[in-house]
Amino acid sequence: MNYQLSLHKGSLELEQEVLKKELCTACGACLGLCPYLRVRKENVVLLEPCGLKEGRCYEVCPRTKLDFSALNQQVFGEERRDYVLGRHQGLYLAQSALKEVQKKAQYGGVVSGLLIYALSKKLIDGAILVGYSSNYQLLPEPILARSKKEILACAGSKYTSAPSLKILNQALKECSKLAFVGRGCQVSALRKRIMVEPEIGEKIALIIGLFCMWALDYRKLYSHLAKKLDLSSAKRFDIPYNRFLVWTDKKRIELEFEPIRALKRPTCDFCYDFTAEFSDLSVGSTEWKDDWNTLIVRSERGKKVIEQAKKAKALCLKPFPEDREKLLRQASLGKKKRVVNGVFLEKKANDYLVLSKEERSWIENQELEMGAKK
Amino acid sequence: MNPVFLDKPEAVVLMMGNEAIARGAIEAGVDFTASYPGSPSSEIQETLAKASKIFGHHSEWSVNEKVAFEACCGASFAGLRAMTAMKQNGINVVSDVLNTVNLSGTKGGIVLLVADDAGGYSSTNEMDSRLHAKLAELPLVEPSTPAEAKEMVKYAFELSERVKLPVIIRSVTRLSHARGDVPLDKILPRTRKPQMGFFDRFVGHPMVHPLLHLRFNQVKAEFEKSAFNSYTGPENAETVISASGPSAVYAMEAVHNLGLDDQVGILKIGTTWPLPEQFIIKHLSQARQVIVFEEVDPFLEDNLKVVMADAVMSGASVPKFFGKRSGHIKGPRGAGIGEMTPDIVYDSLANILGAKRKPRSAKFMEAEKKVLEWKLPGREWAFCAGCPHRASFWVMKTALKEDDREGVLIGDIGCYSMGVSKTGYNLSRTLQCMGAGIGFANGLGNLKDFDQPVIAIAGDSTFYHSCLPGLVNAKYNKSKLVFIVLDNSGTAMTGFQPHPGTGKNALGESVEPISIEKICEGIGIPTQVVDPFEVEKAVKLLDDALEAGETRVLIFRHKCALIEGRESKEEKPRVYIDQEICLGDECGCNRFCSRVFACPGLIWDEKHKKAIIDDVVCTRCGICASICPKGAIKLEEKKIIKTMKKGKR
Repeated sequence: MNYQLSLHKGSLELEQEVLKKELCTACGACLGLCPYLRVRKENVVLLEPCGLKEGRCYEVCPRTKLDFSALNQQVFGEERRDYVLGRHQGLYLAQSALKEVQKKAQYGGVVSGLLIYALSKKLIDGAILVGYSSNYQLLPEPILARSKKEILACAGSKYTSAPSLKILNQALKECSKLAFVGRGCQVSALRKRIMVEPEIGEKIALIIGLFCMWALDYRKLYSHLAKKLDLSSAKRFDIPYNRFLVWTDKKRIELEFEPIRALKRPTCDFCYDFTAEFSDLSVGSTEWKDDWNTLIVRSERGKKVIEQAKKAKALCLKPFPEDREKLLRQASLGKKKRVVNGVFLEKKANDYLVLSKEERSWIENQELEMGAKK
Repeated sequence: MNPVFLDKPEAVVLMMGNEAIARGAIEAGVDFTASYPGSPSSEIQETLAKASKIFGHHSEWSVNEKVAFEACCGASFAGLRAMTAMKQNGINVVSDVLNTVNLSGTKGGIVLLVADDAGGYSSTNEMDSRLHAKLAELPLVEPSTPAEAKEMVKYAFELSERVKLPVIIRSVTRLSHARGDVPLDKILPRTRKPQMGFFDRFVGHPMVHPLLHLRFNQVKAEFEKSAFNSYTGPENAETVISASGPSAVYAMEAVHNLGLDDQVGILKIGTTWPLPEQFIIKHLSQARQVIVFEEVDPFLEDNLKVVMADAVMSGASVPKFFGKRSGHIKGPRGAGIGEMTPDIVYDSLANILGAKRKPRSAKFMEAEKKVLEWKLPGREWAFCAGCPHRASFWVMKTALKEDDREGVLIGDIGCYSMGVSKTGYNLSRTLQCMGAGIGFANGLGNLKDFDQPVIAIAGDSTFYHSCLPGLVNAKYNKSKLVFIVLDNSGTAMTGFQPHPGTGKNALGESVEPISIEKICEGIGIPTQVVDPFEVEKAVKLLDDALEAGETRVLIFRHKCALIEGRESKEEKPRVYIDQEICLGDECGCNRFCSRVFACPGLIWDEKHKKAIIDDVVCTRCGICASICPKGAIKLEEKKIIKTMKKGKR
């Protein structure tokens, strides 16, 4: 097999430059390729160096060289214009029209609803999603959903970082029109993988990116929660508007949020990609209306699915209010500025990120409006 | 019938030193035998176990050397003749009771045979066990040949009964495992009736220390006249060699071949503790120099010097001593290190005496050259193909990595001792003595501010031998450790002797197996059993156990491939590698099976850049099929049908 590898580094460097530096995002892209990399409770480890000088693991990692201009060109066939929200051709408030989806969904149920629609119309034949582990409490687990029931079972936000790309290879054996749903880092990794192995791209029909400011470290979160409450009774948790809520069998418990925010993965501080800019469609909350989602339509094929779903009345769309867009842009810009300006530089390197000169200086010089973070 | 058991006085039978030792016990009419296996002593109890069906004596594999010896003491207390055999490490386990039963005394003849693994071919040390005789003030004899070993065993029983003390016989690998002609003698009938009379009391107490000295002096007096000590060579020789054990035979050969028969005397000492002082003074006070050969420590050498130093008071002159202390007698790794060999004896005699070794015949040299030209392929220290320990170490390696807290693995004694080397992925951090692993882990698991998880391992036989106190202590003192019992259903390293978990005893009779998991659960430790061949399941269980942060037991149970091979009658499907699917050295594999997992059955085909299976070595265990990332390793199905058909015909 010939891979188009360009970075000429392998598993040993991946361990040294990413895993050991707490830069791993647990995207799962390096997993399932070989027997040397393994994951346990969202912690990726190298069993031992495979001995090869270069490999796909290093190449596809979202924390090794990530060239936003090149990737943009590769994915959308054009230069980057919108440095804040990425290439897009539509921004909407969106909501699934399916009642059963609304019942289970965190916000507007756009992701679950769209997938159910796409599956029913055979636009996709499976989706890599995240459900919950049957072995460990509150541990998200990658699932290849191939039915409406399985899609619904995965509804709801997860706040730790499930390495769902782990099951990509297996899923590609079973599906030829695969959908993938994941965080920005995972979307970048998947795009990088497609650059290495273009034939994989032909089997992936839809990539939905999720807005993500940061993900919590499962092991740290679990031991923190174990100290605060009886975890055997905990059923799920949620982080609405910077509050941390846990539902147990009987009641809802609120825990102090700041100590929990401190348990985020260190790598998230170096993320430049709040809205998953290389997806076909990006979906997030609105931080405003709880039963609606923010939807960014990026690619042509993304647009096509949305139009079809809208036509079929599976999806309700509303124009995105201008003042809300401003806030969304401020949130994305703020994250980008922190990375570019090296706010966390004393902690870790952020040199994986490659931006054009223009983009870098634009981000550096752009003023952040105070109070916009709300 | 095994010729070792023949009731044919005066027949001469070629037998192994260990068989000769067993034969000695049989001729002495031994009533009770109990041992724990350990190289190079194991064949003694194995032979005695076989013999027990003919001669009716008790024979058992005990859980450890201490229990074995104590059981023998019990038989002795009731007036029976009893013998135990062990390796040098074993006598350390016994040493506690050895230093009280010496005071209390015994009744029936009791012999402790200890076979030292000089050179440590199959041991973690090469300790010289003779110091235990000195420590406990017990009689010690050292045979030089299998025939003498047999005679010494018989003598040891008689001596033990006369002086009411256990007698220690010290063998070494080259005696235990060498073969020699042994003249048979008549087998004494077993007529003793066990009984403990009202006055049969055996109390070890310093109060009776003077009694031990009395008995010790009695032994000394007897040893003065012992036929096991001899002097050969010219009267009043200037140079006298003193030697014990096989070294005495090496010395005799060397002296003869160096043409020194007329100049050098040989003082062979068979009763090395206490020494026959007058006999020694008689032969050494005339000498100007004494050369001492023995293995491993300068035990005889030092004690001879003490005897001669004391002899100065009665006017004797002290000769020069050439030995390990002076640095004249030494092997390639130094004086007092490694086993004694004929070459060391030759070379040191040649050096000290300026003698020249006669060249070998041309015919011999030619033959030797031929043999040496045929080079054996180098072999790594490795688990056998199909060995469950490889799977277990793989599981432990994977889990420790996944756990990602730099967990440590504490090793123990058994085949899995090789866990310190590449075959066990260099995981084991310690290699010491039976049962030490769980003990070390007790400490590590109870350190404040020590965040590295701790795994202790032990085999099933080692578990019964000496792990129970450590395990109880771990639970009692809340030591955070995962104790993994590598249960391969036998004492594999020493030759598949049964143990309490196997459901068989030394005689091959079925007994109720003693469940390891029930013992652990009985202590109150959460215990789980898993087959290490179910790699992912075992990894998860171990990960969970490590995260639990308390005392946990996991039993990795899978039969030793060699035992399975012996027992299993049905042919297993052949394992092969689908060359189309095998990734070889490409990204995604890079010879994972042959290079990293590294079962000897997996070979790298340099020519085709693919893995292949060595059908001769492969045990068809199939574990590699489960670790191959591409599923290229497969089990052949056709073969079974073929074989079945063959069977029908």
